[in-house]
Amino acid sequence: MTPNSTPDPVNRRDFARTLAAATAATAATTLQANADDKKPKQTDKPEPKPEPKRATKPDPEPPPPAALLLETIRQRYPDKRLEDQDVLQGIYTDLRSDLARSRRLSSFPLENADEPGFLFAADPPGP
Amino acid sequence: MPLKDKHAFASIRRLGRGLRRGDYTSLELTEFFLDRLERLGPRYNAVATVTGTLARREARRADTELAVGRDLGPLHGIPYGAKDLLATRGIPTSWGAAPMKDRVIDADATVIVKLREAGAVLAAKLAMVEIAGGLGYKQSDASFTGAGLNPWDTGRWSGGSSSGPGSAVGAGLVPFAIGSETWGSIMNPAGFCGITGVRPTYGRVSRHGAMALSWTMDKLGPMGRTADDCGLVLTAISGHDPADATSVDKTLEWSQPPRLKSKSKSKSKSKSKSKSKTGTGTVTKIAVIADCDKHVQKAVRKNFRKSLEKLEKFCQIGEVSLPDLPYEDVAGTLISCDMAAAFEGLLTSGDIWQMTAPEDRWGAHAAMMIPARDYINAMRIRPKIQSALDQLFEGVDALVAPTLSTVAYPNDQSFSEYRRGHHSSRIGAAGNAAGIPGITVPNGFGEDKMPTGLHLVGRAWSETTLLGIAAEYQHRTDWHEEHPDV
Repeated sequence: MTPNSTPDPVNRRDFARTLAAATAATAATTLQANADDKKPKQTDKPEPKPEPKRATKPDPEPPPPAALLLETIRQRYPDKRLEDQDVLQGIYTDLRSDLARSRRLSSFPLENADEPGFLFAADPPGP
Repeated sequence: MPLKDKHAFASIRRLGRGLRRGDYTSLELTEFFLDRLERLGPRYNAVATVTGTLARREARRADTELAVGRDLGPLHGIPYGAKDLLATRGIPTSWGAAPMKDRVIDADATVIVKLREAGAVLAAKLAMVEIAGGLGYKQSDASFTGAGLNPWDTGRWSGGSSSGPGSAVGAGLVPFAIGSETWGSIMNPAGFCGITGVRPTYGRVSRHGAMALSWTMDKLGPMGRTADDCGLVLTAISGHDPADATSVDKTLEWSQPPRLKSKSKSKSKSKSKSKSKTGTGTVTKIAVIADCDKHVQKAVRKNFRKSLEKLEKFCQIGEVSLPDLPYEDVAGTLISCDMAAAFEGLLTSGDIWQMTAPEDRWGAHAAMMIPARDYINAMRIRPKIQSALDQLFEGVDALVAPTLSTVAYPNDQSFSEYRRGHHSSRIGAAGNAAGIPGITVPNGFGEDKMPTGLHLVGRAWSETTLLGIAAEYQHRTDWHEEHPDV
């Protein structure tokens, strides 16, 4: 395959901020999930009354999808070399490019009857 | 007769005539090319493995067969090289990747078998960009064999991902080679190295035994000195193979290059409805892709326009605009998703971190996250691309554009750095997404006397037409006879 054009690089400072937010968000989600798992199940007891709402800070902006995907990659394919900022930034740039491409594909006008261009045959493949 | 340097750049037919005249034997011819592969191959990082023992055995057999009158055709006794993604029993098949450099696949790819049946002699497995470029390399040093170096100037890249086939044919290390193209991997090195390359219609050539980068976009094709040479090789390797369900029973039949008539004669003949040998009814019709030379280097544009003047002598030339469809998005999504499925094991095993290009060590990660929806949408758009392109060929035999926007990139610059402000026609992405054939022929020299190329693209299964136009162009020019001093 011949190489394609390189997507626009991400500003280093913005990337560091985004990555930190994604890591924090993922960590918070993981802690909450773990806490939920550890709570004893109280199926027979009546639901406790909800506490009155206190004035809270507005939720922080969720991290961008590319940052969340990057965090997923770090968890799914763990490797100490994935801690390198240049590597992470390269993957992050690729993710943004893939997401932009995804949006373009989704915006292409397709009818329900537009089938994928692959053919599946019931005949088993040959030896 | 001792073999001389001129034989290194001779056509297949010429080498075959010498064999049959008894000027040399296949073994002598093979030793001649083995010596060049051993001696000059390292200069261009063109070779993964020289297959000397096998080559000598196959050459001796060819000599024995020819001596008793068992002539297997034009490739009989002719040495060749195969991109190192084609499996060969008993010989390493590396896919250009360091973690696989000693791996042996215990089988022969169908293309290798077909060439053996045609009497050709496998002299070398040729270097390539690691994983055929599917990991997203951004500069030339992306193979465990080193950057592919251009025989016209070793300070420049030979192109990719079929880098070895490009530089080996360009430097006269083999008379022809087999390359592969998923998106540009035959056209690019053939264009950069000043040789002829053919991307066949998807399904024309069995992919069995070839590394899969993208199951629906990979094509294997010939890279040689002339369109005629490529026609001979494509004839030998095409046709249905039970081991590849997508291969089609359409064997190319290329015996002699047809002579296409000059336009003035054709015009008068067209009144009497006589048929041209391109099979299109009357005069060969070519359409220039609108704006295809707008963002190319000045010399690339100049050479392209001179080529059009040559083509005009025997073709009617018009212009078409490519429909505005997401060719690059479709091709890119299909390749990324197939690559992610085919090579996830490199990530889980950690072998990915042994790749040569630093960017290839992390270039596959993002693709692991592309949703199935994108792949399916790309596959839904693909038939629309096929239909739209097919309509362009109503009344047109071929589309034409410069092969590449620039000459070969310097090795000390990233690709994007050198080609900034230049880009090729979208027909490369469109043609590969649609699975239709293309051919590139050398058409002159540009910056620093580096080769430039002319790209012809045709309707599905129109290789004979494309080869015919290219052969006629080469009959009227001598760019294909130019070669570097090696």
